[in-house]
Amino acid sequence: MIKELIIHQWKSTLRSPNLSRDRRSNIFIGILIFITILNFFFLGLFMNDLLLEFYPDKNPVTLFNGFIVYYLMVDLFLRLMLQAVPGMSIQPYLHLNIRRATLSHYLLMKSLGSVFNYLPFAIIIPFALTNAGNQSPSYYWTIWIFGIYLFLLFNAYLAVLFKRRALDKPILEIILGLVILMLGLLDYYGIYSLTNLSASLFANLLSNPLFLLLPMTILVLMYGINFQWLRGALSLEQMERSSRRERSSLKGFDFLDKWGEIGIYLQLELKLILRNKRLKQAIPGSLAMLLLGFVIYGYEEYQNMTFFLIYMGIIFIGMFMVYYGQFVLAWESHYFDKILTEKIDLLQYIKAKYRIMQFSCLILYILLLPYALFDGMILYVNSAVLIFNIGINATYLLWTGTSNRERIDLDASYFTWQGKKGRQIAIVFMLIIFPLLVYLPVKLILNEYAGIVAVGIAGLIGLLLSQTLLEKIAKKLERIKYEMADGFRERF
Amino acid sequence: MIQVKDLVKSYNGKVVLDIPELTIPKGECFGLVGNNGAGKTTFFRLVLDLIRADSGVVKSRGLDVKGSEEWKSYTGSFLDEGFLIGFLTPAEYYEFLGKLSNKTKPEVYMELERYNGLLNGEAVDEKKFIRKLSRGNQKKVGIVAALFTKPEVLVLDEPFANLDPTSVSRLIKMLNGIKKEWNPTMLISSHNLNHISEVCERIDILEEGKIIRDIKDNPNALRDLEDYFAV
Repeated sequence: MIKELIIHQWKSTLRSPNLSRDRRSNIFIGILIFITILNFFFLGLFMNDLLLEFYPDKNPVTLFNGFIVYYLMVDLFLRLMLQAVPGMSIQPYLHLNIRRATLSHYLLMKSLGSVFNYLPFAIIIPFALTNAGNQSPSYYWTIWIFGIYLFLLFNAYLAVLFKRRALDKPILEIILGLVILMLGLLDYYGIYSLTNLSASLFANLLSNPLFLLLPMTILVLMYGINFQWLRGALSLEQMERSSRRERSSLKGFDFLDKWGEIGIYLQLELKLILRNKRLKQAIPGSLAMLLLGFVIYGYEEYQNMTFFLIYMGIIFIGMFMVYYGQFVLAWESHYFDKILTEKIDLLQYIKAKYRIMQFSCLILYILLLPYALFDGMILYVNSAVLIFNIGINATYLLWTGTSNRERIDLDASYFTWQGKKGRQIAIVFMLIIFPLLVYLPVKLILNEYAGIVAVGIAGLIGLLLSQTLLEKIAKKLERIKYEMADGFRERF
Repeated sequence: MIQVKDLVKSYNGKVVLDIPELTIPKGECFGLVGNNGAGKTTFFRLVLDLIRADSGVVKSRGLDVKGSEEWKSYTGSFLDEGFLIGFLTPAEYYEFLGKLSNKTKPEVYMELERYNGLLNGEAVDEKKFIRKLSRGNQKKVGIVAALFTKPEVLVLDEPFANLDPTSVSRLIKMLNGIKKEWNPTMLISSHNLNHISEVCERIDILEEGKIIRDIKDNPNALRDLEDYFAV
């Protein structure tokens, strides 16, 4: 029976309209995934040399093992945000003569297919291959890989349990994020070393195959808990309740009423962001991105590459803005007709979006401030980049947004490719190119500090002109609204 | 109130709407019937400036709806779910629309009170988002949203479809009630000949984009219509 269900699953994937509609972008995505895997593969292959370069006096395997627990925690963090919970898809089977236990097992098995379970293989397999036979016999490395896989699966079911029981409140993710940060800092200052724990844990896997019993036991336990709960809760009502909790809980924005017309639109915009999965997930998504700062800003090599800092700054500060901005106006595709028939001042309407973008940049900029402790240059660059982002890039995104024609699926996940086309990627690419176009010539003629100042000044000019530019965008929207509305009405 | 002149709209070279001349006087209830694909929704979209006409104009109070925004302040409309903001609760949706027409929250709720009969139970559930409502309840929310600001022009596309029988008779009663109260100009389409003839004194038949019959104040309107649509 489960086989039958899995076949249905495959059919539903293969026959989904998204897959057949956009062959070209699918090929592009395929290439992208391939490149990512290839990158990981080479990272794994040269991990030894890389680690030896940074820590010449330490054993690379111990170092790598020390990192694994951190990876597992970040993995759990990402899963809580992004891993889908298979749920509603069994709706058509609930009334049929299929045992509850079978359906429960099937639902649980679906979690095995998550990409999170397999991506790490691209690193650990080549790493194991390069080290096989060095210290432990080759087959121990197989056990090591298998052990890590079991831990990953444990993570998968832990995340699913939280999600099914509707416990994945944002607060949980924030706490987990803070715990990871804390442990990282404690490790960094040598107060408590999780690295050592992790290293000894996974070293055991390499010396004693019996140790495999640990991940096995916790995995079986976690599966069992999931199964017990799921079997009891397998009714349409329960599934619906846990997979789609939807209740309004946003009373705190009434103060925006005082801002007049733009306040009304800002409230609508905030609700749009906070109540729709795809946009909502962009918030933790942008925050998680900031953790990368440890990797980027932590190395002195990078600190001296100003153009690289600008590049990263645009991404870090603009992460949310870009995600939101690339489909600006298309997010409203479901009710665009209503917007057009209501007495709405398009200039104010667009300005509300502009403010949202600026605000998100400001927040991310503030959160990035502590990184200035690594190097003052980071502060200068990010300040200039902030001004550039809110002065020029935000306006640019609004301008390109008026050319959006495709209906957007608000219920899709943060990582969806729905609506993403080559054009979108080109737009995002331009956002990074713009500031470098300002920076590089000035740096070559004068020096890098002048280059950074020039980026800031360019942004400032954009800010000064913003009123005029937004008026132009509103006019363009007025002109082009028929084509947009027409595209938005087209279903998936 | 609404004047149409030489209105033509075509898709891919095929003419889907062609109305040389049509005048809907103030306070008239204009019913539009016709089979699927006859052009009813296309016509309403043109009236609401949602699509661009190939040629011709739609005037509201003498002003071309295209390029003017005047009409938006006195026109209430509901064509399809594309008019609903799914992630708001019905209450928030009404409040939002109320704000756009400068109504305070208490005013909004006062206006809504009279529609409680239609919006029974679930459709006013404090905490449920519109996207979670059933089709029928969504429709009720959309219709009330078009009505409650007391617009002078009301455009409803198939308001009776998808509603339960009780709601249909409530809606008919309500539309007849507002006719007496502030007498808006109404443009309503329907597939149900009984319903439309209970509300509208003028009924036009649209066929392949053309108005082929204009029935006004005719006590035998229903019989006429039934004859036309009989197979």
